[in-house]
Amino acid sequence: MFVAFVDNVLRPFWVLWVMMIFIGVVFYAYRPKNKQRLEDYGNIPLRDDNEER
Amino acid sequence: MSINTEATPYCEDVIKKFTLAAIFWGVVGFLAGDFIALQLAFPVLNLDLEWTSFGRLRPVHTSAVIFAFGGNVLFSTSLYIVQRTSRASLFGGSGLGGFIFWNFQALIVVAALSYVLGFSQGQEYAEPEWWIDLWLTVIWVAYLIAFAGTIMKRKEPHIYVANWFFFAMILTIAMLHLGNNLAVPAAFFGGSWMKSYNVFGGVQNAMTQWWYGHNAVGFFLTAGFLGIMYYFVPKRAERPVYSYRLSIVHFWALIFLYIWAGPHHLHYTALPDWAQTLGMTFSVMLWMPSWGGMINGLMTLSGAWDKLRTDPVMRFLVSSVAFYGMSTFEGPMMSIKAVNSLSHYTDWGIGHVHSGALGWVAFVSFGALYYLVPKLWGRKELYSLKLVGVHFWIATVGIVFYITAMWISGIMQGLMWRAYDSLGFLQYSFIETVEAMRPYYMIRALGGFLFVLGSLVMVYNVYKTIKGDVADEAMAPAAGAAR
Repeated sequence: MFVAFVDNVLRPFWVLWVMMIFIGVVFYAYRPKNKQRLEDYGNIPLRDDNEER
Repeated sequence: MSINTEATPYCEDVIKKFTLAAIFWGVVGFLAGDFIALQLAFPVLNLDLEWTSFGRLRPVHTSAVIFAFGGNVLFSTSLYIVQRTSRASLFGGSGLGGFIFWNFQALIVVAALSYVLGFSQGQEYAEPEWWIDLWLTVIWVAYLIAFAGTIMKRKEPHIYVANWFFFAMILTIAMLHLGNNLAVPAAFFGGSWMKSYNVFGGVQNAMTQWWYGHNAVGFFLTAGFLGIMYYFVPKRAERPVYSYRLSIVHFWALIFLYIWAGPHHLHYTALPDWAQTLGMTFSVMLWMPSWGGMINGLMTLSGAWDKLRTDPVMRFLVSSVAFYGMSTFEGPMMSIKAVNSLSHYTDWGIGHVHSGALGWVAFVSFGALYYLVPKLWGRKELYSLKLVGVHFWIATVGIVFYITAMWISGIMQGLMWRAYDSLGFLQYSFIETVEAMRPYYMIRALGGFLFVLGSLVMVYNVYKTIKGDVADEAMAPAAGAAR
């Protein structure tokens, strides 16, 4: 059952579903709701100390 | 800031070792490269000895610059960055770090000796024989444990994007290394310990080799060094990356596309046409992460462009991103079959590789090393920023000599190979193309010499910085614009 699904659907249509995952990533990244949170992560390197906290 | 009595220092002694090793192997690798460049211009430099012939020294050069220089830079920077951005000290501490360090340095020496003595698997960039491959696997797994372990004990909830690139590099290189080095040792059947046979033959072997070879470029020399860019450019510019959201898209675009690009090394060969076209298509799509990375790296400087003029370390970092953009524009273009029919097997390929290797990989490494050395040895700044500027210009002129010579020589070579006379015969014999390329080989060797010279300026600067000296010019109150 699973093998048949992989052979008949996943393998021949890999371009399609991989593309869909990628579009999902772009959608996630650029969703206005996520903007503030994601851009804040950019400050991580600027907040570092010389010692572990 | 609250006082935390339980604070533990980051593990930095192993980072120091990797930094010094990177500089040492860098000079060795650049010298080896310039020596074989001179061998091509003046064959007498083969010295009539089997050990110093071009065929044996060439893998010494490529392995020294890619794996010894590039590898030590990656170990040094990734283990530094992962501790800082995770706010956790190195997993396994200096014990595991030292194990990785000493085994890796010993492996470099053994691999180089094996090439010089004439042992090779004959797979490009994967020349070491089978037991050296197994040894490297042990080192790499130890590296994975140290890196992933540090991430797992992180106190920063989010994993910073630079670490994603390093992680992708570690995992993919592990997969590529194991896949391309599947070999049957002759020793198991009463043969030599220095001989093995790859399990794949013919076109399957070629395809596996370039799946490995191109992704060594994509994941070792690109993803790994992008990790360096995403930490050191913001740090040196003292501002966050231009767009963190773009960095997410950049990362996944690179991951999804790069792995398929290998077949463009095998255009017009026995490889099935569909596989060639697939490789070409995915290579062209790589323009997407190329622009993503370039925009993100360069635009981080927006509003602080003056740093380019006043800070030569920043100049190295930013120029490296510009070279990244340039060589990753050139690469997909060369993978287009029609262009490839002219460029393949010519010096154009060598020129392309070096605009990426010298301009992108080495420059971003120099920028990172110049940032790291004063940090690690507790100095306020480098011995002399002026000397960094000297290094920058000598090396840049060297690269320009190198790549322009190879463009002209390569395109000329390609055109001469395909020239026919009125009767349909090939117009030039092979040796005529070699004679025509000779002046360009000399210019290339000159470019390489300048690059070596620049790296020696860096050695002097780093030595003086570690010693604790400060150049007179740095003492003077900020006459910043002059440097």
